[in-house]
Amino acid sequence: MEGIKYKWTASFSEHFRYKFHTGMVAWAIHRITGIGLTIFIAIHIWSISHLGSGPESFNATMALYSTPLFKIGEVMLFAVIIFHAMNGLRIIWVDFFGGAKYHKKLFWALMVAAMVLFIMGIVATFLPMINLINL
Amino acid sequence: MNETIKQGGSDSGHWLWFLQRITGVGVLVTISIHWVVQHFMSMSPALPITYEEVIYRLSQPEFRVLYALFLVFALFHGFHGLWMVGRDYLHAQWSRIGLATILITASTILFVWGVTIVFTSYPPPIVQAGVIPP
Repeated sequence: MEGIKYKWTASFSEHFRYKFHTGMVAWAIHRITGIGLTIFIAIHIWSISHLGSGPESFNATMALYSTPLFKIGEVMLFAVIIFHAMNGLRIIWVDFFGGAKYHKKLFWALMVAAMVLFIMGIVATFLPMINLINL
Repeated sequence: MNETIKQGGSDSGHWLWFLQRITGVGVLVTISIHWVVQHFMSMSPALPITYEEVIYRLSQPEFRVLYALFLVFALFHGFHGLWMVGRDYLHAQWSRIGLATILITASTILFVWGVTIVFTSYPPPIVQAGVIPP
């Protein structure tokens, strides 16, 4: 261990050793969105469990989810799912199909695909509502 | 220090890593079908989904299988993912055992709860008899 000097009072940046590059940011967001989606699964099971309490209870819960605040939440959920899914495909591609050599290009290509899917999904979700308002 | 550190993880770790990928694809497939059904095959896509529609869907065997598979894939993928995240930050053995206990318990409860909903939701007798179309 000679030649190595340890500082007892290391700075925050020395402790915080994450290096911000494409792969690392994708890795961090993948983990954060994964935690959020796992929590959402629990909430979703709880919501659907209202089926056991009868039509009034279930329909009241679903009506709550159609309020503007929850609709914004639904859009955010959709974005989170699409990011997690597309980045997950990148991870599988890197792990099984040798995508490590071009993982950055793969990431950005999948993010473009994610953006297209997101816009298509938003249109498909909200177009029926716009049509209903116009009727 | 004569201890050697085994690199690459155990055989079970390798299988868990593989299952994490497989269940990820499973979640993507099942959630895509759910999304299409929810938004394109719904009886009233502009309105909140109703009790009758969900009950009718859950009374069909193919949807029960779909949602049971979704539960298996999503709960394994999600909770094993939480374990992978937690394991990176928890190094003491007691804390890892505690986390594993919490995650296995929570995922088992959610699985039993979800499967119970999926396999015990039947239309009310009046709908079953065809008096009210589902």
